[in-house]
Amino acid sequence: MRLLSRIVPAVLALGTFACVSTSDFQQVQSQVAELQEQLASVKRTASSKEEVQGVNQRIAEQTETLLKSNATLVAKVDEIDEHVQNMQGAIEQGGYRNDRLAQQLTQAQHDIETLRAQLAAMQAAPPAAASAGTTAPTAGTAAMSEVTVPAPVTPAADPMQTYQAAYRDYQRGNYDLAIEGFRDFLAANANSELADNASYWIGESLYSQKKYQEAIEQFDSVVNKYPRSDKVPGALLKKGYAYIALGQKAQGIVQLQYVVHEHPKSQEAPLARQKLKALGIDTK
Amino acid sequence: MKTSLLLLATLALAPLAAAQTDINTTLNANQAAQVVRIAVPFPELVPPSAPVAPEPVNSEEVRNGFFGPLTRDIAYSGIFAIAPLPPSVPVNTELLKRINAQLLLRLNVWKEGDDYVVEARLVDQAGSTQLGKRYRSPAPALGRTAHMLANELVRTLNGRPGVFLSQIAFASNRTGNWEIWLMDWDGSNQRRITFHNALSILPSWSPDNERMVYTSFARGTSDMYIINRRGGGRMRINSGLALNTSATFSPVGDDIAFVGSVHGNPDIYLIKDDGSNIRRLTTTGSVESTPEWSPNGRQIAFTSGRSGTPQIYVMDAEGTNVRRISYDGNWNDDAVFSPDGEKLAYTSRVNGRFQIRIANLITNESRIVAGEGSNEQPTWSPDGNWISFQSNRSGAWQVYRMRIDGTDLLQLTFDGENKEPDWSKKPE
Repeated sequence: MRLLSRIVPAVLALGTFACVSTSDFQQVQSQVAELQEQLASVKRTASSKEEVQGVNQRIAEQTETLLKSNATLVAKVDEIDEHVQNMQGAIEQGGYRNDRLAQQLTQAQHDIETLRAQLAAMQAAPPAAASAGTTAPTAGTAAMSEVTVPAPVTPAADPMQTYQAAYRDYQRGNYDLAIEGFRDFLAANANSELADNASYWIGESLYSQKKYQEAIEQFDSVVNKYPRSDKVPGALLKKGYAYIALGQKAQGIVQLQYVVHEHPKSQEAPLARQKLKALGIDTK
Repeated sequence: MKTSLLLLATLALAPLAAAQTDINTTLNANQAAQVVRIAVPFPELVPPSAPVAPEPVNSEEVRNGFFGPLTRDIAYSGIFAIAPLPPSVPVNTELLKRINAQLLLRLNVWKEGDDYVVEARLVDQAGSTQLGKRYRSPAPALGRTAHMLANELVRTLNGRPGVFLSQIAFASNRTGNWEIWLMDWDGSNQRRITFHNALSILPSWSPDNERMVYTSFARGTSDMYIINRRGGGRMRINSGLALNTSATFSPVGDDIAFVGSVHGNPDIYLIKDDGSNIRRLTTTGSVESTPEWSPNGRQIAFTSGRSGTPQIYVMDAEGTNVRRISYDGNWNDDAVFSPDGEKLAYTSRVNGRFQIRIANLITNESRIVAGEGSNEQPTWSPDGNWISFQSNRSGAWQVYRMRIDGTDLLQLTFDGENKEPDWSKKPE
């Protein structure tokens, strides 16, 4: 625009000095041609600016579309994140219910065994003996006198009570008592759903006492006896830490690498990777 | 020291100081069965055998500074009940039998120079002395003398000291900035520990009661500082991380657990108290916060959003064996282990308000200790009988104390806003 305002007075000036020499006229003509060219060029520039503006507009529109779709993506990711979290929550809730069921099952198993033993005792002891009196039969047969040792009369300790007492001792830092308690629980409830937990807590109690060699053996037993337990990655990692604490670095590294390779999705895998890195060993 | 005395005066000591017979404390059936009735007459303001004319004693100073705190400690001990005394009757063993009190605490308080001397004799119905103690202190320390004597009384009965000399650290904005403060267990003797003139919050005691670790924005970023209980020896722990907060000392060893972050995602970390050997314990993409050690130092409770809502989890001190603890409600936070390691107290949202929940880790049962307003950030007394917490029930955040069953509630702070109490770990 500013260029045009300069050109217009120049053209007007040409008119004022019309009657002069031809050379002058030619000169003016060439000047006009030059100016026209400039004007055209200015117009071209203007049009390319418009074009740029247009392009800019289009870019802006595209950007907006991109941003919008990006926002949609972010929202989608958030949504997926939430789904994952909800699933994590559902898994935890499931795990919680499982634990509860495991406890109830342990209790039920115990009750069934107690009842079965009582039933066996009742079946073994003829009703005549019961009505005969409280103590050993007076004039009975040899078979009857054998029955007078009733094993199930002193019922085994309540399994949940044993487990809880052991866990209480662990929390209080009475590790020897905790180990003893969990061992008692395992001895009487080898098939319990809580057996892997009890076994892990024995290992953890030994580890807490810095009895690393014994802890390694115990964590080994967790891994071998309960290979599908959720305590396995933890047991393996602790085993690795115990070896390192004992100064057996190479053995420890093997355990940590095992955690990374065999349980890559576990919460223990990043811990193992971190420890390996601190020891100067790269894992991917 | 002078300012804290003024603060003490502003606490106004309720009507309790008026007479020891006014004190009523709630005891559960179990405690009531073991409670020992004790008579505590107002001190004689002369030496037991007065050879020289004693200096005059300000009886109100003795009542407010010593007798009030002492009788409240005794009444809240859970093992003593104060037997009401008939007026104007000489207190002797005959009277003890008549009012069915097993014990009598005879007190003499007098002045020697600027110091108060307190002499205490605990006698039984037969007239024999069970405990004899003498304390000398300036007037401002009379409250501490009362707490020391109360601790001795409890120790005489059950072999363990009371919690009367324990301290509660907290954050207060009464000076215009949030700074770290300390107070006695009954809210008296409130004193400022930090002078950052910048947001300083989340104090946490060391296991030996000598140091605290807290978060301050003194440098504009969140940093961890260690300071001793008298306000000296301040030290910044340099973790090299962007976020450093919610630090707490391990009850064993020299580790500190804290919340740190590298790329904006908060996780639980460990670091030695000299700033060395940093280790990351959690590695999820969700927010992890508020780590707290179990008393045996082998477990760490924390809050995690990994399931979509903040919930309480416990892991081994190595970060292994993570278990979720809280399942009730969609917001559970600020978990702290009881001193025996068997329970967790935490903040739990119930019907839109936050309440203190106590969960038994052995039996998996939990119960709410409901109160007015929002009630958050619980901390256990060293004997496990009390919980201090922050509540906005008065309209502003203040620190309160209650028994773990919710009885004997007491507001401890009144000046400005006060939050994030942390009870010292040892009774003395």
